[in-house]
Amino acid sequence: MPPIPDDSFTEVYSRHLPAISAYLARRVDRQHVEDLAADVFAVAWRRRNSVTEGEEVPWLYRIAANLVANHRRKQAATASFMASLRPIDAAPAAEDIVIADANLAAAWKALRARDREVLALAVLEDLPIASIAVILGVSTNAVSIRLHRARKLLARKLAAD
Amino acid sequence: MDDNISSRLRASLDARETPALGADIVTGAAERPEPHMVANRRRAVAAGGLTIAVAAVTVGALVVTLPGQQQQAPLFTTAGGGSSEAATMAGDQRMMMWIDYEYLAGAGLSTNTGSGSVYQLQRSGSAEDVIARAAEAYGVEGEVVESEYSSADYPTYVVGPEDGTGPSVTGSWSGTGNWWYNNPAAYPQETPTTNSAPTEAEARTLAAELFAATGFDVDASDIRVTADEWQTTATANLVVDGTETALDWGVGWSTTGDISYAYGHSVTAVDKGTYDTVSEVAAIDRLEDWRWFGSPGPEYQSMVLYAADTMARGGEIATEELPAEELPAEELPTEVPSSDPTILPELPAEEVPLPEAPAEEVPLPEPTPETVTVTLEEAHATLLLLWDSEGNAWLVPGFAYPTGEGAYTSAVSLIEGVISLPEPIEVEPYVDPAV
Repeated sequence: MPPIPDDSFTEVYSRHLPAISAYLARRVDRQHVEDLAADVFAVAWRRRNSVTEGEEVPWLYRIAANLVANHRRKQAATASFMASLRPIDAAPAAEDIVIADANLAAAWKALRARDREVLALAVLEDLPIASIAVILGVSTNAVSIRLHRARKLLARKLAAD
Repeated sequence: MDDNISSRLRASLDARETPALGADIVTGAAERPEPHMVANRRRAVAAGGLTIAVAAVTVGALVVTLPGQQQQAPLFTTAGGGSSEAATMAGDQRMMMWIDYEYLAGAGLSTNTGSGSVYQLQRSGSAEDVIARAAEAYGVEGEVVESEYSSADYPTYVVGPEDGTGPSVTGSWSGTGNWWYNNPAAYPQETPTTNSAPTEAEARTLAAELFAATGFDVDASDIRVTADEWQTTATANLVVDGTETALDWGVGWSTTGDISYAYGHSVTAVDKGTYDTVSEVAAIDRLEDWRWFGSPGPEYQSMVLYAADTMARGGEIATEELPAEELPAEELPTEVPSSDPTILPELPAEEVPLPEAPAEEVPLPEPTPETVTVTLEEAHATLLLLWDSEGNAWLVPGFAYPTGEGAYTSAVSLIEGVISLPEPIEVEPYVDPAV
């Protein structure tokens, strides 16, 4: 694929800064958002020639997800060795739910991290299945299955409460 | 999920105010150092990272022979391709700045050459018999039928439903003829408050019986049991020529007391001959070349190494997550419902002034990964698990070197030419060719 010219990097990627910032803000403390966002684009700059043309957006999200997971592992590593070996978890945490919607908070908490993440990408980031597949590194079929199951689980939880 | 739930999610999760970040976040990317991963993941990089890299490249067989060496066809070509997921994971690894390990030979290592046996793990029995036996052992009723996900490269068979509505046994008649049992109903949806899983002693006894019922005879004392708040797991490894290999069988009980999953293989280790090996010192040079990596048994392995080995086969990393539950195709949505299909909000040009393109290219700072020198003082001769380009498994002689903190790195010790390796490829560190 043709590499993005260095002088176009800023033009191409600046437009995605608000979305990436919002993604990070929903997953980490506000004080860490700017630092992590800077890390996202630092990685993107150094790997800019490796991204498939047209997949810049999901690629940025994937970098952001890895950095969120790494950030969480750093925070947990001193407390728990096992926490540092957990699979990548960049899903919005249970405490991200505004307490006013207690039923939704309880149902959200009952979901697995993988289900929360795919729902967040589809509902909050409004990303199409093809982009979510790139972000999660799975097939579009797998995304459809995960999303369908996550929706059913969440709906079932809400109906039971 | 209806629009009401979507709206509730958006209202709740989107409640956080997003800080407004300046354009310098993007324009300053070239000057900002790449972030480092947490220290504990070094093990994934040093050992597992090499294997993940193997999964990312395409194979070009390269037979390496020494002048004067008798020409002999290599036994097999090691694997190079992998699943798209494995390749993506490898790409993730390459995104991040890794630590470069420089391995030196300590005085405790030998310069003596030797020899060792190579074993091919050949599938034994038939797909139908293997899967039917596993289904009987785990109480799954039904006929063995071809899975809807079966393909010519990965013929797959199943007993039980494939839509996650009940227990099932699925098997792939490729590689090691591995099969797996899954009971979707055995996973608690809430954080468990009681634990009805078997005790350690009970788990050993039960696992020994279950493994034997599926053709794998192992003494209960050789079974390892681990437990956490969610499940109790029993595993045992194939032993060949007195060596515990990386190929394992396992069974897990959830806190409900039900068996939630199990897996195994159907292979016979076939001796393919004895071959010369290089010395402990000489093999150290191979530690920096991912093509010589193989997976040792549990004695020289950590959880991360097992994950890396699974990735090299193109499989999914074994995690604490539940196995995927497949839904019938007719139930799958064709599109994600969204009130607004817009991918991203467009950034109003007037809010973020873009910097002018520089008249001359600004030279990029060359990446400088941290280099850690490790002197290896011990080496343990063992059998390493390798996968060939056809997806079949082999056991070959190799060395496992302790690197400290309970971690090991390993390298195949066969002399060059016995096996065929993929073409070498530069993985890390990345160097911008423009610099």
